[in-house]
Amino acid sequence: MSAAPAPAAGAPPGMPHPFRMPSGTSLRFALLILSTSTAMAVALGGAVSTAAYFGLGGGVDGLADALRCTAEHFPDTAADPGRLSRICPLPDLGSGTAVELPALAALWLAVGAVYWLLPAYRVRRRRLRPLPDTLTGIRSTLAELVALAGLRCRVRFVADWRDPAPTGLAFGRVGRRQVMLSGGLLQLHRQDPEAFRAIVLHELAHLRNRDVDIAFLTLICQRLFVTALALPMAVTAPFALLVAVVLMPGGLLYQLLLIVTQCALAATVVLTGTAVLRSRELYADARVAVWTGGAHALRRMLTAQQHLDRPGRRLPPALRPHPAAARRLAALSDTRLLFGFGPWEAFGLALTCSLVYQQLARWTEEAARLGSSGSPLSAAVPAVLLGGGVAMGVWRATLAARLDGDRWRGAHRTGLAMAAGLVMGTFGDQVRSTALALGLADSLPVQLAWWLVLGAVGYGYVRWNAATARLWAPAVLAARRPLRLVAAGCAAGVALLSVWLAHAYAAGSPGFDLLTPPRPLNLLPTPLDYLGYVFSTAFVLPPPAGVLALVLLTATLPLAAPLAVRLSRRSRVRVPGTGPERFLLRPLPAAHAAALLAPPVLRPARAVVQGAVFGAAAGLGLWLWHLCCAVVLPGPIVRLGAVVTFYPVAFAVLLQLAVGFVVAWRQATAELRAVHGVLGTLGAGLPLPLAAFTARAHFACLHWGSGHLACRPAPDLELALTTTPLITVWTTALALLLLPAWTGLRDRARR
Amino acid sequence: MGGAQDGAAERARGLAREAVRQLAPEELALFEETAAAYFDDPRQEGRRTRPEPLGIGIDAVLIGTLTQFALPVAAAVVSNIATDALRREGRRGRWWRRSRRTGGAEGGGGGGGDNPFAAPGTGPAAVAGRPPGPGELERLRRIAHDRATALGLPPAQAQLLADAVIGGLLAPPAPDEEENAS
Repeated sequence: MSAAPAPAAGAPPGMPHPFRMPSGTSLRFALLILSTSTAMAVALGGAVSTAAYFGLGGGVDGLADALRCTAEHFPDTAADPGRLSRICPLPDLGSGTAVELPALAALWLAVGAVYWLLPAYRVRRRRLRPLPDTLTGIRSTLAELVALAGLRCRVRFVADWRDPAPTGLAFGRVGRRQVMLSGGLLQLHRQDPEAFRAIVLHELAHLRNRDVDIAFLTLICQRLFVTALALPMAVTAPFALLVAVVLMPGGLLYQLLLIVTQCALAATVVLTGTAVLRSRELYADARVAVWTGGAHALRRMLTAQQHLDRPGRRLPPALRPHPAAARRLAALSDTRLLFGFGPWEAFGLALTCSLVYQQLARWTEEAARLGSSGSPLSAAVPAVLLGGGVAMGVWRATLAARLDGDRWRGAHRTGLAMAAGLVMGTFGDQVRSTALALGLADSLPVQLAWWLVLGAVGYGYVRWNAATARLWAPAVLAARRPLRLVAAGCAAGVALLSVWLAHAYAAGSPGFDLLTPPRPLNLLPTPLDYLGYVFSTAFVLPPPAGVLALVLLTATLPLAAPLAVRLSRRSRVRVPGTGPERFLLRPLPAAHAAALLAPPVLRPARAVVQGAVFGAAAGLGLWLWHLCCAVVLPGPIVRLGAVVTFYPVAFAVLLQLAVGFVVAWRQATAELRAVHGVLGTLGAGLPLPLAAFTARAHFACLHWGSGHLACRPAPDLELALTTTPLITVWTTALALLLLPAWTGLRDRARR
Repeated sequence: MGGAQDGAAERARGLAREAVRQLAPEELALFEETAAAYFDDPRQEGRRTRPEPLGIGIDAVLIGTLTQFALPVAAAVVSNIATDALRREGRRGRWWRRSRRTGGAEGGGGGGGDNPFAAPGTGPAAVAGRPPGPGELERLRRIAHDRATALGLPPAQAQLLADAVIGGLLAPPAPDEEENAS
């Protein structure tokens, strides 16, 4: 948070202040660190393990025999991994984690050492000299600019007298910041003082934005990645493929997938690195605009630069370390562009996290000594990285849209992009690649069903965050410590995502086709049997009460927003100077500011009551239908009950969802329709399961007589009390995915 | 050789300073620092500065400073004079050795002036030297002009710069230069 900035001249009302919320540079940097770390750790770890295996006398034949044996015996021993390992002993390639984590540590040691030594090397290589005190005119201008920048650290100015281009560079490690001024820039001080000031201020803005370390770490990561991974990989990949073709034909597919994965990670590292650098330039420009009230000299230079940025002259925009001049000019005029969070960011984050999920989960499981692979804790690290990044992006975009009196319209597309990223990343999963190479992968319908589940997790996460951010926006804008609220919202989202991701990835373990599902799942066609299996495991193996409570609390977080808005209003009355004006470049009229603090119209009680009423009506209809069937045409229900014993559960779920759609549809305004629909689903869950079980019991009484086991004239409250909460909760979770998707598609069709 | 290089650098610096004083006196404020950096590592002369990926990213602003052209042009001229002197001294050295073998004792103003142990081409005559003749001046002017245009200076300005540098060869050294040289 910057202190007392000058408002940008000419900024229209509703322009968000670029430095009142965390910048987008950090988000992209986190993605870069994640992809670089995992790619390097896995690649280096794999190389060390392989070298150790062959160095200790291992051969290709041993590997090929083990693969062949595993492929032959796996179908018979899928349920007993111990027996499989006795029949087909795998060559000792060392413990993955034991090698990969030291490789990761070595990587970061190398990065740290380069970061520490780089400033001195740069001074030496470029022959930079301290700016002499005799240049009094330049010195006094620089002192004035440093004072304007309000820097807390001491800055040392050095000159690169040989560089005739007017350029500067902020560099140096923590506590020893330096700004390099080129010979051309120093000459500019006399020729065009305003341009000189703009360039120096831009460099000081990097120091003020604290992005110098980020930029240099990004460059170091990129170059280290290229030299230590990308180049060796490019050289060895053809040989690896050749070895696979000649010696281990079964491993060819595995090798291909491995190379594709590494290429995808390499592309992520390069693209994310340049995105980090571009983002920091935009924020430095914005800082200059805040300091100088419009950055007119910078605009003049960028306008001239615009003519040089003709397409075809330079690298593609995604590979450039600087944004195009047109984009920089646009961001100077419209700060909303700095708050954009779009499908590409979400796709990149999700793809990277999905590519490395199994690795991170394995490291976490081994570090925390977790027994099961489906524990939410095993998904904690990927959930923090992916969920934190996406949630922060969504919150920023939503708050910026709110300040503009609008709502964020990118939720649907961003959700789809995140879903696509998660799904595409599974191609790089080593467990899946191994299963594919061994011919043990699930059939395509099962695979598609799993991708559907995973995609739903990604999509639902974005929509949940968008709804939560929209509801909590007035509370955040009025709060004394708004960032704490945003952080709490993101943390809740991360907790929710870790539960979802852990379940989704555990359900995707290869080998479903080798299982014999119990009746009635074995009667369903593929992939419904798989989806039924996933659904059943959720019922049969419900998560611990703590996890269930966490899910409930976080899922209902949006409903607490009106209360938070009221509380923050009270605290605002006590503490003047807090309010939405802080987040804007120009002060707002009082009426406009009050409108920003008005909570979105949310009628949770009404939606729940509506849902309960519609649910009761649907339950009554179900009961009447059962009675009619028992008297007139009992055949279909008898057959259905014979095949699917717990068919009332399915009926209850479907009717609950239908009620949710009706409640959402009845909302006249487009605002928060999906949330109302979810609440309607929750309300319908109160009477519907009981009605479904009672209908079935009364059907049995009428059809088979009162002596039948299934006949219960009075409603079975015990069964209803035990099963109703489960059915209601999981159907509401389903509604959390389906209803936002429906409203998103509907809104898009309307537009 | 270090002394010779320092002498040549001083001479080139003086020529460049004189040219800048004539054509762009406002640049004199930053001249000494630029020249010091330039002569600190003359091997860097031909190399282009690599674009800085973390710089401001605006290359539309062009700075037309004469200093950045005057220094390499003056260095090229001085280097050429020194090379010529070296060649002349080489020829004279061959004649001197031949005359010594034949017992003659003609001449004696070798490369080192009064110092008979100095290497050829290192004396003041080689760098500051005697005033060049009209033909040699024309050749040096062409060299200066070619160097300036090779560095990207437009022909008219290259001509002005070449004239200023060659004019500096003929003019007596400025008092401050004499002080520096001593």
